[in-house]
Amino acid sequence: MTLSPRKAIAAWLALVASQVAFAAEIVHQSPQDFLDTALPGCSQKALWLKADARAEIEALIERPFPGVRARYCDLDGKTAWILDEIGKTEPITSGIVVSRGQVERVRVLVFRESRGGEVHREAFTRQYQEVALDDRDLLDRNIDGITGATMSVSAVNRQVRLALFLDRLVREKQGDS
Amino acid sequence: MRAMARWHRRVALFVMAWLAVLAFTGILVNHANDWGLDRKPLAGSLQRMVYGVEDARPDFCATAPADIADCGSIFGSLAIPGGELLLAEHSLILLAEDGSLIETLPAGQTGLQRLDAAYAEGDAVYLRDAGDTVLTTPDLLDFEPVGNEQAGRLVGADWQVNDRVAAITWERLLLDLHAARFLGPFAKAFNDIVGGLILLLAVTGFWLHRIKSKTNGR
Repeated sequence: MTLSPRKAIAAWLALVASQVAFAAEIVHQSPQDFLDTALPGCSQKALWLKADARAEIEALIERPFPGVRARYCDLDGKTAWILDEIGKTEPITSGIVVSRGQVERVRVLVFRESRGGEVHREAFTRQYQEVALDDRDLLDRNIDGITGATMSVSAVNRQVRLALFLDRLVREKQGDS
Repeated sequence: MRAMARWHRRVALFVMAWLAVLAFTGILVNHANDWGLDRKPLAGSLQRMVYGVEDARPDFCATAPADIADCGSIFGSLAIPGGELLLAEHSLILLAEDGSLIETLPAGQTGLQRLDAAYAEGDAVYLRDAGDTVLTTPDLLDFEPVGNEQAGRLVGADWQVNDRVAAITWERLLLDLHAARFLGPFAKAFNDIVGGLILLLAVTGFWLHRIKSKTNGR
């Protein structure tokens, strides 16, 4: 078995070109632009989290939740959330609009991982439309994964679950007041 | 076959040393968050020796709440009504009066690209990057762009400015070692060569094994 110089050069170039795959952050849409287009005119609010709510959130996202409040944008009963979740090593920033307990729109805004960027595609995020939480706080519909993007898909799933859970807390709070 | 076996051994010896470095740094990087290596800045002397940079900033990691992930990049703090605002290049960290964390807000959600400076005056908190200035309140909920005329009047104010090099953490050092970045522009080529040699070892190893099997180990 011999490797011709031409093949060796091609293999070398392929290896060098593969470095491009380890790209830096890709901004598909800025968070502010997402809010302006998805929920124009919404007002920024903060949801203060009690200890029991934080514990539930931490169980849901499977990591500690930093801080005691979550910010959201509110308009006519719809809430928009800009959330960060680690895929493998870097945070993925997504914008999620929830309308009365159901997802209205999901958009991956900033992707920083070296692979798994396919999650930003409309064909994938469209699956979340009208998804809600079931009584175990899981998504009530199966989301088809993407080969090679398993961790990114899991991260977006966690973001959607978190947005739905936080929206429920907002509605509970509004119901109380 | 002997020549191939000889070169297989030579290449293996060269690759083995680098693989040991990769394995060691890889394990540490894998647990960097668990062991706090992504938050712990390098000692000043080590930072000066390896990277040639001075870091004279206060050690915010020593006083910040434990759940702040990037305390190494904090460049200043502002006392605001009801608490304290820690300023980092890519985030704002809002603390309560008792020092507990209220929220970490990415700088991108303020309407700025990053945070270069901040200034507080009563209930007004001004933030700016290279080109824009925004005005917010101590609760950090609304951010309004500040016009050029008003921004011009703030030029002489007592801004907290990010004029220092970000603290270098142990994780950064490990990642640089892991990726051979100390070789500068040759790092990528070096990694490609080592990767290629590992592939070569796999192929020649399989080949030698096959020949050996055919000749009954002779």
